[in-house]
Amino acid sequence: MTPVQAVMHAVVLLVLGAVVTAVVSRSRSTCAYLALLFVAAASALALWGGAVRLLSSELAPAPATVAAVSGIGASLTLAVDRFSGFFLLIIGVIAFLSTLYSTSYMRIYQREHPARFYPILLLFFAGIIGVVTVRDWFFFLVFWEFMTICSYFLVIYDKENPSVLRAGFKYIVVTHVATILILIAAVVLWHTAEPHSFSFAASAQAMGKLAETTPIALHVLLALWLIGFATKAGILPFGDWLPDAYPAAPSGASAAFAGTMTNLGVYGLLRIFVDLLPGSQFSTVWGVAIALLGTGSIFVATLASLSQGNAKRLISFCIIGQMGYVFLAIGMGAYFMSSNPTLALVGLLAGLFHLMNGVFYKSLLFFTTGSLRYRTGVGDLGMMGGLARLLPVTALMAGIGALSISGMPPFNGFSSKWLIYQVSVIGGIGFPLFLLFGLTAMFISLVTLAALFKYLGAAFLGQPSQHVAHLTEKRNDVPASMQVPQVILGLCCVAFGLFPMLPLTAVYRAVTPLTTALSGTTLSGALGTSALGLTFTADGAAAGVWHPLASTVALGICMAISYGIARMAQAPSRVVPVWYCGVDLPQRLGHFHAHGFYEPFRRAFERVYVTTGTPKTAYPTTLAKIFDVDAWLYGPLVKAGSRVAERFSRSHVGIPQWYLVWQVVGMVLVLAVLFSVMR
Amino acid sequence: MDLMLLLMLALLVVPAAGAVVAGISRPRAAPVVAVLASLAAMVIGVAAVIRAYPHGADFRLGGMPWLPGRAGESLFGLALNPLSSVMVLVITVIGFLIVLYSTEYLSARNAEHPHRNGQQRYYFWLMLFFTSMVGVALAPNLLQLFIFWEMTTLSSWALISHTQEPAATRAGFKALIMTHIGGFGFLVALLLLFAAAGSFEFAAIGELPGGLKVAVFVLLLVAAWAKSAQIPFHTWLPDAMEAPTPVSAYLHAAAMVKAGVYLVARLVISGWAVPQDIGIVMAVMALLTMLMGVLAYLRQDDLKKLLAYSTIVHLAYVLIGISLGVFGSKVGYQGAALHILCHGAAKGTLFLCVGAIAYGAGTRRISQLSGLARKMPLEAVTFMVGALAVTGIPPLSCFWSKLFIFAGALESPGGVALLVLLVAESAISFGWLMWVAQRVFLGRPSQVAAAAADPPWPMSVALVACMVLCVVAPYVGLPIVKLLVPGGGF
Repeated sequence: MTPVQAVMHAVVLLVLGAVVTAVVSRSRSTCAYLALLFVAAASALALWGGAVRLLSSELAPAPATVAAVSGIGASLTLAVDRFSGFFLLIIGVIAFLSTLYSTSYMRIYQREHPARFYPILLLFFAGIIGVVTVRDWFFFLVFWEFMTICSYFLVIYDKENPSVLRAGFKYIVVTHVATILILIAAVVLWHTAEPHSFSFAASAQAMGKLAETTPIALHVLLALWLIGFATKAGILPFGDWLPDAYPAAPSGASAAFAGTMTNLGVYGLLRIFVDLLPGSQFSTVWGVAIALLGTGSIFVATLASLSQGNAKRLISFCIIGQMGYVFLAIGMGAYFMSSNPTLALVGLLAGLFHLMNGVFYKSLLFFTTGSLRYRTGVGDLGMMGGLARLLPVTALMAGIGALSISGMPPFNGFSSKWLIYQVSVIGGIGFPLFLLFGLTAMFISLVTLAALFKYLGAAFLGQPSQHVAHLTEKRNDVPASMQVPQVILGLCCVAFGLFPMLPLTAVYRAVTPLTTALSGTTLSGALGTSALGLTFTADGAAAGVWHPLASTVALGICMAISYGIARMAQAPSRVVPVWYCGVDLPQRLGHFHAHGFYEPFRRAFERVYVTTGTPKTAYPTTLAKIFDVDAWLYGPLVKAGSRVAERFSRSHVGIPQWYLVWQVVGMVLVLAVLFSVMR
Repeated sequence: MDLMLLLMLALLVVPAAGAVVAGISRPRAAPVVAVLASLAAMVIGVAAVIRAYPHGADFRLGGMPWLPGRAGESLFGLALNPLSSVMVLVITVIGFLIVLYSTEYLSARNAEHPHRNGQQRYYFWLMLFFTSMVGVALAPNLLQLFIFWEMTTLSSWALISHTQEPAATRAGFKALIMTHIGGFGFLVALLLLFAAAGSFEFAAIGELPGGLKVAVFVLLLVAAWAKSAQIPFHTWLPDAMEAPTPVSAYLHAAAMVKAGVYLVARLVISGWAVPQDIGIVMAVMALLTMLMGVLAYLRQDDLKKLLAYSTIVHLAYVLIGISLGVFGSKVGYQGAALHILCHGAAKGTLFLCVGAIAYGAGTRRISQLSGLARKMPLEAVTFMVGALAVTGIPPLSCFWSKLFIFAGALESPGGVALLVLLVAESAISFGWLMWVAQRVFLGRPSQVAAAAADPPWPMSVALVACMVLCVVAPYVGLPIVKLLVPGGGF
């Protein structure tokens, strides 16, 4: 079985699974477990297909054409190159884990029908797998829109909640417009290609042709694509739907979105800017634009996350920030593609590695918020507190996720961020703007940490609020089907942090075949040969070294020493009531609110992320009046007609004398006409 | 006799006979007769289309001694070419579903509008409508088309005013007058054509001298605008929503308004002789109509009226596609022909769905409906499918036709601007329909919604069948539409 066949089987299985789960949806648990079964099989196929392609030496597999709409030059052509394979791996992992998580989590939605979740979730995964394997813009958009519509129905699952509906509506409208932008770009390229064709190969040629004849048109197309894909990736200002929509969806679905769909924006971006676009001044210009958008999102979204009170919304903002890091790295990679291949390689590697790390900690964090909701029924951080006693494993995993997302060594987020910083510093020598971007990213990393500590502190630590106090008396963690996905993702965060070279090798194999601009570079030339650490080499000299194992051991020794000192000094610890400056406060009032420490930040950064609400425009009443032909034309005409008829009818009064007069008048008229004619 | 001719004759005779029998039978038998007749007509229609594929069929059946045309031409006949095949499919398939749906809708169980009598009258006119639309599609020349054209006007008048309430009578009269004024243009065009060219053939217009040709085209265009409710004759269609919902569905999805665009499409394809200026007028008026329709969307509270404006906009889409054909883009023209079919499926779905809502919940007011999905899950799914199909979400029906029209726009002068306008309309309609769908089906159930229920089987079957049509319509239509332009287009 070739990878393409594996993918096709996976899609068929998922569609079949959707039908089957819809049929059996009367029973909640049967529906859930059957869905899990189908997703597990499809995930295994996707993982297998992706792994085979990443491990094989074959670079450009022959695309398989399944069906064709010959008339418009569109064909359902599937191919799994290594880049697709990389995304298939991610999809395989996340699809399985999020479905597994949902089997238990969805029990909290007792009022809603499971037929509205599992079949659509399966179709959503089918759409995603389709997106990363097609080689034709037409069917790319078909799968893309299919995926978007499915995700919309998942977002509005809790359909009687007005805020969910608002979020869903915003989501579908914004992403639909983004899809239309991509569609316009694709149709224009289709028209440019001779003969008209939607295939990726033809559009690469068409872009080359446009670059020579009308570069301005190509710039416009690239802008359309960038906006379209940035919208899906959640990059601000286009991705403003994300902090509304992700919290609205059930947590299993949110994790699936964060782990798969958001990243497809990056997939599309790299397909366009690295794979199809010939390396030239275009990638240089648009590289800066991508990096700028990324840095803007890092700055705005992460600062906005500080003032959020809802756990999922806080994490949603952090996700936008993390996507900003990916964009920054990829933008720098694209910028250096024609001038400095090594920096370009490390930039792209850093971007994709960060994306991969993001998959783990973003999905992990959404799982932990879901677990909180599952046990406590609330999502507002202000109503939680002290839940580590109730959910110890979830708390530990949330801690790992939080440290990973904020780039603390030795977790995985640090490794990729370290690479991004390296590129921005070395690249900043030639192009100082990148240095500024890099510095912003570095400092905002701390803000991410602060935001995540707000989540950890308010949810798991401290005194329980009155809403959850009765729950925290004894340990009662979430069921195994919800814990396992959390633990797996947490372990991945740790493992990829300690051994970054392994995933980087996969990323390297995925990204280099995309463009000839990187063909002169090697992984060992850029990041050293050690399997345990990274040695960043720029312009032939080692510019930085990161050795996670050594650092972790050193960190461990330091912690052991400090613990030893504390033990030896025999510092006494005692349990005392909280001191409220001498005032005797009930616990309810003394409970430290989630916003407590963050109030100054909220006030300081209030203007950074401004919500405008729905733009309101006046209804063009005048225009509508002009179009209301009944009112100013037909109505008056009919009225005038009936008036004339009525006046005429007055002549018919029934008095003989008048009829005689009419006869005389008529005869005179006839005679007059006769005379005038005969004369 | 040739089997093909037999099929085509049967296609006209069976529904006509059904109309007469339903008209004179007992009230309880009328629906059965109509369902059987329309089912038979659907089977015959599909068989005829399949048999006529790909070469078409054209039979001339003679004329009248006192109206001599040119030698070798006859006044009456039956023709089934790719364009009329598209129409026949829409008319018969959707027609059958609508008759089936009517059997339940026109009953005393209807919550919005209980129907207790007038069954024979209803089915007589509905089947006559069916017959006359088939006649329009099969007409081989302008004269025969005109005769059936006026028959559709007449039957739509009777059907719109079926309930005989003042508003309905008024709306029926308005529809009659406005379309008839357009029909008068048709008549004048016919006389001019016969006087100058001595023939009623479609292709004869191309032989006319310049000025006269433009005059004939403009008069026919006016007739088509009136029939298809385009600016400035668009006002009768929203008023015609007083009709029973199945009638509205038929009026919008398959019959009546489609006759107008069919006429224009027929004229353009007969020799591609339409002057470019006419094409520009058509395109500009269609764009204006679209603007009007989009503005009107935002103000509607009645679900049916919203859909009525949506129909007007989509007919404008068809006309734009046809005018792209006038400019030389065969793909755009094929997109327009496909849109007749695809829009028919999607709009039929939406109208039948709204009818089911009115039947079950007793109102069509958007402001009174909320959370219907809990009690009417089938309608919720149907409406979503219909809305996604009509706004062109892949892989549903209108996506394909719109795509061809977009591609055709790019091939034409000023195409990018046109493309942007069309796309903007698409995005706005999408947003608005999704908003309405959310408003009506999701959220907490309103008082009316709490009492609603899914409709009985004849209506549910029609709804499900329409949903299936939304998916399969483009795949059936594409091979037929491909034949429209031999060796050209796509």
